Amino acid sequence: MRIKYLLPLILFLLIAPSSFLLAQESQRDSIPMTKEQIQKLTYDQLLELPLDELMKVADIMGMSTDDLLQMFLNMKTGVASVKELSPRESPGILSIITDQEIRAMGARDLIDVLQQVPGFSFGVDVESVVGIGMRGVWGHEGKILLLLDGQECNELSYSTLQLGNHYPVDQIKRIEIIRGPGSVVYGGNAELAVINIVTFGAADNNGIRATATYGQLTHTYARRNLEISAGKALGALSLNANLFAGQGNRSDKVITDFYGQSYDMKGNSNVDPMMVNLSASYKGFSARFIADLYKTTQLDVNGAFLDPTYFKAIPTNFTSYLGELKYENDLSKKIRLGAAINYRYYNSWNVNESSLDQSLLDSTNAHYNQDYITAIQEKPTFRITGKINLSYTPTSKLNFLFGTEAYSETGLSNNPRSTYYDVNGHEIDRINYNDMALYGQGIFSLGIANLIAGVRMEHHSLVGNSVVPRIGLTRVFDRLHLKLLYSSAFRSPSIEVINLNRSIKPELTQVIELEAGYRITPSMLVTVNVFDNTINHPIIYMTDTTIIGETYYNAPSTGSRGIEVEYRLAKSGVGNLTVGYSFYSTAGKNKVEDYMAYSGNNLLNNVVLAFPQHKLAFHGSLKLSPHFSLNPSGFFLSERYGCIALDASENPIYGSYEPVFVLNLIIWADDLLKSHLSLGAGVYDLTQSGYAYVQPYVGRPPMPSPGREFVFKAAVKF
Amino acid sequence: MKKTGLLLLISISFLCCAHAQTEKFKALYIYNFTKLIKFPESPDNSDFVIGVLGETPVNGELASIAATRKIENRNLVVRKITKPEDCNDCQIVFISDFKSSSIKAFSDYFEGKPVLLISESSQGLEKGAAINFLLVDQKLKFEINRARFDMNKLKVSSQLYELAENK
Repeated sequence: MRIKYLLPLILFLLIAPSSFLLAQESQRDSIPMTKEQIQKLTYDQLLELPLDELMKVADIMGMSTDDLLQMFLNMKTGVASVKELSPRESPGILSIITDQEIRAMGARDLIDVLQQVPGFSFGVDVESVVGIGMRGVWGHEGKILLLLDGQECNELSYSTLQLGNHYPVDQIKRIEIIRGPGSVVYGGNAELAVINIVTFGAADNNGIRATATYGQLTHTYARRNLEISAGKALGALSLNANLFAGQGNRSDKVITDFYGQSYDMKGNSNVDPMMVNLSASYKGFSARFIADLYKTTQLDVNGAFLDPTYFKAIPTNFTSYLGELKYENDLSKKIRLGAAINYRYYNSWNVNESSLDQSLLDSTNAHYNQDYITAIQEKPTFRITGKINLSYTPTSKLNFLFGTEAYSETGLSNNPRSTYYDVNGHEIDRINYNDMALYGQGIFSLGIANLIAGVRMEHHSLVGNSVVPRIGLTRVFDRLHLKLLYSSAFRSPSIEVINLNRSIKPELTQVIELEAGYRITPSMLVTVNVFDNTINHPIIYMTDTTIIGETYYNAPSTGSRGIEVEYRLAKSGVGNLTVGYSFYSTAGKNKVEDYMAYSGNNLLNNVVLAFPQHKLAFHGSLKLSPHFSLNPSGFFLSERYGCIALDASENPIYGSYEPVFVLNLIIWADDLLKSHLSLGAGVYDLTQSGYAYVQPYVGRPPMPSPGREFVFKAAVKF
Repeated sequence: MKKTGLLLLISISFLCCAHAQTEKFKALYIYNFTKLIKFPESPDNSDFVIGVLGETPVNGELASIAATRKIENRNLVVRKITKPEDCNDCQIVFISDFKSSSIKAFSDYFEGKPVLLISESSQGLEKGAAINFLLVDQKLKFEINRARFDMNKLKVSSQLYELAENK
């Protein structure tokens, strides 16, 4: 292992042993009580408990599925504002998904969870990677930020996320999603949405928990995953480890490209996750180390499939090591200080030349294919970031947040076939950029409403300045809440974007949002929001092999406007139901040619490629008995557009794909073996809907989703 | 689409009146608060009255406790209320999130009187409650307004301050 890989691990290991010693002293503070022991307590015994013991009992019991709506209404979240506010008064359009919901729906991976969220849709990128679109905009490269326990998961080369059996959903405690911009606090990847994943920590695990998942398709397995967590809170000290390993196939179907080349995805579309997430905290200090070793295979390098008769599936690695040392504490009753050092290392989209068939790289070989060579990518990147923020609350009606961040990032080339370019276009094997940001925000409780105003100023050493303000008004009445938000956000060009075009500029987004929520009864809440989103100078990838090869450029504009609705019902002893609907129209805003959809030869002004204008998703849980629950979920996507073929001159022929309705059903048996075991079984895509991920630009045919999958889950906790 | 509608109907039609875990613990916490707060003694040993404003399962949970428990040898009575005047004999008033806009009116009405005002709204303390429930990290916590206790002449055990989220 190189020293770069080891740095965050060493930092973590320095803290962990001393923490174990401190643990011996604080152990006496912990109460040796399990959920099972608590459930044996009578109501009279609960009434006899002193308040401090009762609070520990409540902590251990946590939330039940019946409390989901209560949580949404009463919890406080800092995802949209840093200062904790309730979701109804937070300055953002929020979706919050709990572990109970994720578990109930038998989610197989993050796609299943995000599919339930209004606004999100999915498309397929090069090399079979599944990415996210938001409100009708392809957000795969640098427009949507994913945080895993506060660590940014977007890789540094292109700022992409890679979905499909990647993240350990059964270790997720809560996902907080800003369905809109978050650049003021989160910077240059938080342009269209922020997905903040919080996994189980030491206090949640309080012992060991494990979940095994097996998914079976018609011809092969879809996944066989194991997630193990162990953690303990020992007074002020907390230690936790979440481990995840597995294997999977994206699908078992045979697919054919626009040139007639086919291959069987069984065994040629592997999605094999492995992740280690370690954390330790003591009072205000905390350390985290995440190793994410996600491996895929594929035969579709640039949309033109390789012939499986001669080519083995290409192993593509997405490796990252993320480390953080953090201090966060109250300096006084009015001042809270946070400081952190982050280290991020990625070797993403990595195809090692040594892993390929050397004879097929030889241009004299009869089966030589240029795409096979272009797949080679050996370009690790890393970034070191320092952060400081200060929260000042002079009165209960005022809060100010000030922060600064600075980072230095480096791209390396380990193979002359994949290099960087200097200002003169000469190949080089190392590049480096620096960036510094200042941000500030004020929250004013004015009586008639909460006013939130903030701004971020960021300077990148090559692409220059970005300044993004935001302002919002929120008001909670008894049953009604209202939000009016204006936000500006930006996407900072990533290393590879700059590498291909040193004149590229950050793209800038303006978003206006209005939300109204109404609590119909104590058990029902409905929220409706409208949005108008304009992206100026979006950064777009382009290939033109005849003139300039591949590059990025700033297109004139794109954007969308639309409406989203979320309905929540939760009733204890019965279950819960959440239904989400979203609609977008590009309303003539899209000026990016690659994204334009056509019906025959007619340009469609309200829709873009790949993303349905209408989406309806639902998930629910119906308690059949104290031990059994029935958990349906599903989604409907309206007609989608895409390239369906190429003509003789290799120009795209556009068409539409039929609407799809995907229905899933999971049955859970809980509290088996003295509450230590839960078993789940069910089926995803019950009706074989034919759902496939369409490419949001012209390149390749849609990639099938797994299709009907029989899912089995076993979860134990001790 | 038909299936989605059917599921919605099934879910709504099965609604009944059991209570959620958090509401159970809120009621247990409220009962426990009475052990840590010194209320004025009642010379005639009259009922200890908790008034509940708004539609909330906490009401039923408190009623269950009242069926078996006394507070300082006084019968515990739980009563639904709609306005401050309904609870001149209350020792505790619990205002559900559904009625959070009424907190200020109740707070003004009971200013200087030994009545404990408890809320479950995100700005409950700012509106005048003495104790406010909140969910932190999916766990039930509470916060305290010390000034309000002083104003309402309620003596509080230091343990309650220690356990509060904003200690």
